[in-house]
Amino acid sequence: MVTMQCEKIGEQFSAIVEGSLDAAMKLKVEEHLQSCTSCTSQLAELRKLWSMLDELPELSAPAGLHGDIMRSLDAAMNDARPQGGLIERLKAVFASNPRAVLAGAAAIVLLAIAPMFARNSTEASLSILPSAPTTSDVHYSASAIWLQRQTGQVQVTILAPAGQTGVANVKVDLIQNLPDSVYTSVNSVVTNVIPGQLRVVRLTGANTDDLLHYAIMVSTINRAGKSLQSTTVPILTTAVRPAP
Amino acid sequence: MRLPDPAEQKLIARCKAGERSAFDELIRQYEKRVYNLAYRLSASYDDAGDITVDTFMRVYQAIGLFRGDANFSTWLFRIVTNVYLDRRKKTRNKVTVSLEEVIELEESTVSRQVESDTPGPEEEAETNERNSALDSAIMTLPDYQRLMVLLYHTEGLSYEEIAEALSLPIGTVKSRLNRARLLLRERLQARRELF
Ligand SMILES: [Zn+2]
Repeated sequence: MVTMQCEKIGEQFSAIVEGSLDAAMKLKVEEHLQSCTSCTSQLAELRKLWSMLDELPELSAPAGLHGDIMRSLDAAMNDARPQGGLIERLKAVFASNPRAVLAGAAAIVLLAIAPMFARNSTEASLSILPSAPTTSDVHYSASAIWLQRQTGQVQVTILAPAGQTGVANVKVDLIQNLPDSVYTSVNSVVTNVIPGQLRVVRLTGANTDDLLHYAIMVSTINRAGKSLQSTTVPILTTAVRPAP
Repeated sequence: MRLPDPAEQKLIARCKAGERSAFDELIRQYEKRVYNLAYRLSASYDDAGDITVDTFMRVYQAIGLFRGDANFSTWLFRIVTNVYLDRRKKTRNKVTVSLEEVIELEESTVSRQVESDTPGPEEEAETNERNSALDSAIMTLPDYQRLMVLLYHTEGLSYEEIAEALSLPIGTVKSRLNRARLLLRERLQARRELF
């Protein structure tokens, strides 16, 4: 018969197998096991399962896997050369303090990250452009404003770079900086950008209590959906519209 | 916590300097483990390959920021987890299959790819069947439970390392793992004859 006590004992099963119970608990468990066949047999099965799990064999990786990884790596290494690694640019965004940046600027500023050639430098520079993108900057100009506390909605305004003639497909990612500097895309949307027109998109999913750990990445994508070039901007927190 | 391996630290330093051959070596050392974890998380050979490639791309992008105060493997498995969960979010509507269906679908493929120490044919068939039943049962666990079972049992991470990789308190890791093992035992009841 399964009793309340059985449930309590069940919580200790892993510790029993590992032998990490303290003396008092061990005594309690042993006492229960002497009178409960259900727990005794479950525990025996768990021990068996445990060793099967530990001995689960490794699958061999497919023959082409290493080549696939190296091809992607080579492509990434080539992409990184002219414009600095993505991670350096992300780091620059998170290292900058959007509030401080805004203090000196009136209303909305358009931000662009200066291209960085020193890939391994831990120092990153952030340049603030007063309004329209310069001709030398291949990246999109974008500004991101936090709109809504409840939904964590961020509004992103994108402007095509000078030199873009036709309509371009861009991907807008809401990026979160996790501990250990792992960056992850929380949410993304694909849209198009027409020269001379502002494109506004909205993304949800930011934790509004922790906005300094978020940024917006705007990337050009080719027909295959691959990101070609990207601009990363912090989220400007002064244009906040708190929930009513 | 395991001590950092000096040879590995050297290799990572070379990776940070952008040396292609160092990445080549690092990838060779870990690709099989990443692929295994990715396969057992995603239950798909195709997805496992994609997750493995994406994982090493994130490693390449973020290696400059790996501080070395965590084990590289802990950090790596954290990335595998993120890559998997990101993809999972995008395909959330995926239909979940029952244990029986999974066993039928996966049995032959799993046992075919398994590397074995060449025991007798009968014994081998039995072990393979048992392992594929176990593999299939693991795949029916909820994401986080499955992840923990894999990190602990097949990747050999300690409770502390799992707590670090998943940013969870150690007590939570222990209790969730216990629940996962009990659930796994329960799910294998249908295949009792194998044990
Ligand atoms: Zn009992």
